[in-house]
Amino acid sequence: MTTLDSRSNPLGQDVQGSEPLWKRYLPGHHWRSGEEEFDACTLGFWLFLATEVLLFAGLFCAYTVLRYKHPEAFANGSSYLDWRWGALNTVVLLISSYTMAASIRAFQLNHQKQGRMLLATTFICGLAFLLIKFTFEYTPKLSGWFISFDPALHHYASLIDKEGMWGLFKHVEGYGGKAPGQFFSYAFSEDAWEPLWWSVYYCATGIHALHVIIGMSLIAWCFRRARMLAYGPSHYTMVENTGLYWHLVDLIWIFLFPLLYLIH
Amino acid sequence: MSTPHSTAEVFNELDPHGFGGYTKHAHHVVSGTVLKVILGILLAFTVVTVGAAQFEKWIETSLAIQLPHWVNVFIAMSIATVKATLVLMYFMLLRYSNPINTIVFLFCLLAFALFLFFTLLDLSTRGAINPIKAHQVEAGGIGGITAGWRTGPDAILISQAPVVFWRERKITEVGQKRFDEMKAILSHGGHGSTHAPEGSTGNRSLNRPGLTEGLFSATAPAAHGSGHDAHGSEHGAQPAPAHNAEPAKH
Repeated sequence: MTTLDSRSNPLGQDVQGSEPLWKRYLPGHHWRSGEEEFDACTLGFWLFLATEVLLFAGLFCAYTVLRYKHPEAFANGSSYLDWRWGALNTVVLLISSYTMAASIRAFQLNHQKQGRMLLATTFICGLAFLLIKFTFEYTPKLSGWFISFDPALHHYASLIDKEGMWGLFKHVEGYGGKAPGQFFSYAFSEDAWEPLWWSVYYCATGIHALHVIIGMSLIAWCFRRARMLAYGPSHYTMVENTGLYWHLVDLIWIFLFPLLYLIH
Repeated sequence: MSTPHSTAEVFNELDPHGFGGYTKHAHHVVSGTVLKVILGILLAFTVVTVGAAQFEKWIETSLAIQLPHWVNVFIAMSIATVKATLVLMYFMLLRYSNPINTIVFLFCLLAFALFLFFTLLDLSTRGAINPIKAHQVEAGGIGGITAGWRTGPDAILISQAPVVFWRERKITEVGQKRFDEMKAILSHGGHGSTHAPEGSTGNRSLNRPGLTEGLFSATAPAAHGSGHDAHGSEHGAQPAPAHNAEPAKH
């Protein structure tokens, strides 16, 4: 089987005996060494990361233009976001970046179990990021439905008009409708351009969240392969590139957090 | 790692020019302490960036000093750039890996900078052009988009700014008194921020370059003609035909 990173000695076990998979890995026949293959793969991945940065560059540019033209709308819109959720998510992503880097180090040193544990931690951090984003930010803002233990609820206690899923969710009258563009239906807005702010907010954080999901899938793939002992000191290209992707996701969030949550 | 072609004395037909020497270099293993220290610095900078934003708000609300908009952006972006550089150098290993990777990334950032630079160049000079064009802009609504998520025959068509449409709909539904009560609770306060953003006042003007002032504003709707005076004096442009209610035909 030849998949993303599973090329191994075609003679396989007969010749190599019980060597782990990473020791049996052979670089493509057109490379002089595994080093060269690794360098080329990494360079290719950096070129891909450049296109990713340019994708987000469009969004940052839109943000710049629209904020420049409608500073009040952006200050207004940003004040609906709770910086504490943003800061918590920043911390979660920074920790996940650390565990990702540490897991690459573990595979370089052939600490298999530690490497797998760190990969799993990274995955869980990504999951936590998404859960926080969807539960405490997207859902209430779009629909007005809060999860019952959301600390913001006590402020809106007098406006709760419905309960859902046996009291797990509570609906605050008038809170929802902070949707992008023409889907906007929030009645208490203070600036005519606020729908634009929500368009930028959902585009930027939504595309970022999509990257988190893709990154988590790659990490899950790495975890599965790592259990087969596919990565070790002489071959860990897939983990390295997954790490690069994950750090890029972190990098984008480092800029999105102050731009969206801390402006006034 | 071993490269089988590194002996220069013996002619190697797989590596006739002896390139092997240039391409082999051991993978760098970053020390665990370095990674932990970098994580600590990144977390500390997160605290700093939040603290700086809170401090700026405190200056503005407690000391009543209005900081220029760029101060906020400049401080936040400087800290973010430092954080990003640390991630790139130590987590993404640019400091230890092949320099070509760094070059690729820097060229990408250069492209981004050009992109942003020319956009800002255009934006910041819009005000100089628009007074001439201002009388061509007409307040006439937004051309009948559908409101909310509904589509199909029962979709509500609106020709106002959505903000105005939904506000008036809510007022009709619950009455002005209830609306004001709800607004007092819902606007600003429950969700982290206690800072009520201000619009333009007599003492301070938030500029909105490129459009006739207040033309489509929900808070301060201005008639088409009255916006002209502000624009004319602001840019020292030709006095606009303020008495001319009809837009000039071209």
